[in-house]
Amino acid sequence: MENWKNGAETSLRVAIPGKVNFQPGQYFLGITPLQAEALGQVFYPLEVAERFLTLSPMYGGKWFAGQAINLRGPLGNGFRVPASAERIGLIGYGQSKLASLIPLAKTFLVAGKEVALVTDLPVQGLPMALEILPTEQAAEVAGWADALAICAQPKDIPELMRVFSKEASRKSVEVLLQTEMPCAGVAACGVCAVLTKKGWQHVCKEGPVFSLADLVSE
Amino acid sequence: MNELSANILTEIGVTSPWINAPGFLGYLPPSKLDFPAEMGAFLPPPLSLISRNPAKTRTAIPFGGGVLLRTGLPNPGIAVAIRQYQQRWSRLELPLWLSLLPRDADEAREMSELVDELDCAVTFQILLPRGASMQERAEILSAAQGEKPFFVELPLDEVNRECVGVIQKSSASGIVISAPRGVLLKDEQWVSGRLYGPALFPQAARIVRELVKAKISVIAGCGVCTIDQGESLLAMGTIAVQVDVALWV
Repeated sequence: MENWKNGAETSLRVAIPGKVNFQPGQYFLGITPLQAEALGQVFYPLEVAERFLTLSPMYGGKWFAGQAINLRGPLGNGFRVPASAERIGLIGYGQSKLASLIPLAKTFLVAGKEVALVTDLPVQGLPMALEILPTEQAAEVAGWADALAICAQPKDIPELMRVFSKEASRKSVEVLLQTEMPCAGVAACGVCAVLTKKGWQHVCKEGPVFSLADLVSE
Repeated sequence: MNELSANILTEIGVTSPWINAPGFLGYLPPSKLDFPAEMGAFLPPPLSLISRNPAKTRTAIPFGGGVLLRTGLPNPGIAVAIRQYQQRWSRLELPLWLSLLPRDADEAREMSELVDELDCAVTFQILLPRGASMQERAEILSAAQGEKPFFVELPLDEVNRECVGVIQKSSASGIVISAPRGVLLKDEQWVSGRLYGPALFPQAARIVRELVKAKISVIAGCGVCTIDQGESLLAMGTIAVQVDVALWV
């Protein structure tokens, strides 16, 4: 494992024994042998290159170069942005981590699509073709885009529903919910429960990406 | 307490003393489990008589050597769960062991009857409502008595002579020492929840030792995170070990 900084968010570069494929929006559960914590840590994958998987932890932690890490994943359901979308708006809401949106941005830029990222957080090392805008321009981006991919926290759901209700009724608006997922889909423990039109669902299992139109304010 | 307790697990078909704590493997066992011990039974999440929603302030807060979980023990209610999972539970290779959350004696009686009717369930454990008087606890345990043996879940922080005495006078087959409650600060608010993790092991081991000395059938249901820890409690005399957060990593 190597530890390095990517903008404001710490990333880990992990040597992997085999092939790993993930959909943007999926996550991994990682635990370091002999760690003192009782639970694993949620990581968002950033990229796979040769024998290395680059990951961004949802919360801070301490790792050191050479350390081993056991990874479970990829877990959950990623983004399902319609293939027909040519202009994609990515929105980092509130204090949510942008790392979960980065693979999506890269995928669409490689495919020759236009991508704009809305955030007030400091960012570095992102592709030059990615247009970065402040949150005061979120409404403008939402109107311009054919599809929206948002990362947010569950507490932001009521506001997201209010701000993007018009877009959610007309186009694909997906939200990646960032919250604690202690069981990572093993137990339906309820910590990450979120109310949807289908009833209570779990961010760790049925998510972390949901259609905004399916979410219900508690 | 039932005198057959020591052999009760073998009699109901639980062939390994390692089992999951309720709520730590979901409603159906995973196809693959990384924990290095063969499981002797399967416990779905705790079930109440009527459905429970997740806690409004649900969260997981790590602390040194453990984690506080606040979930509200959400579940669809025992009747809905049985309707939804009965067929798949009946096909399990492991014996089904339910966990019940009655609020009073009437609920305990009704839930016990439902377990009696559920052929694939071999036993159940019952978590007494926090704050119930000793009289109410005795009534709940009396009402829970049905055709199947049952265990009483006693959180580590609620173990005392009086409470153990009430359980001993009942027809319960043993006591499950389960996760205690605690409070931790998060975002400047004190959050209450159940505590899990290796930090609890020394306290759990002490209580297990006391109960074993008193010749009470006891299941260690918190603090065990490794095979060595569980084996040491089994050697001490606990009849089974329920594993919780160690199943998630």
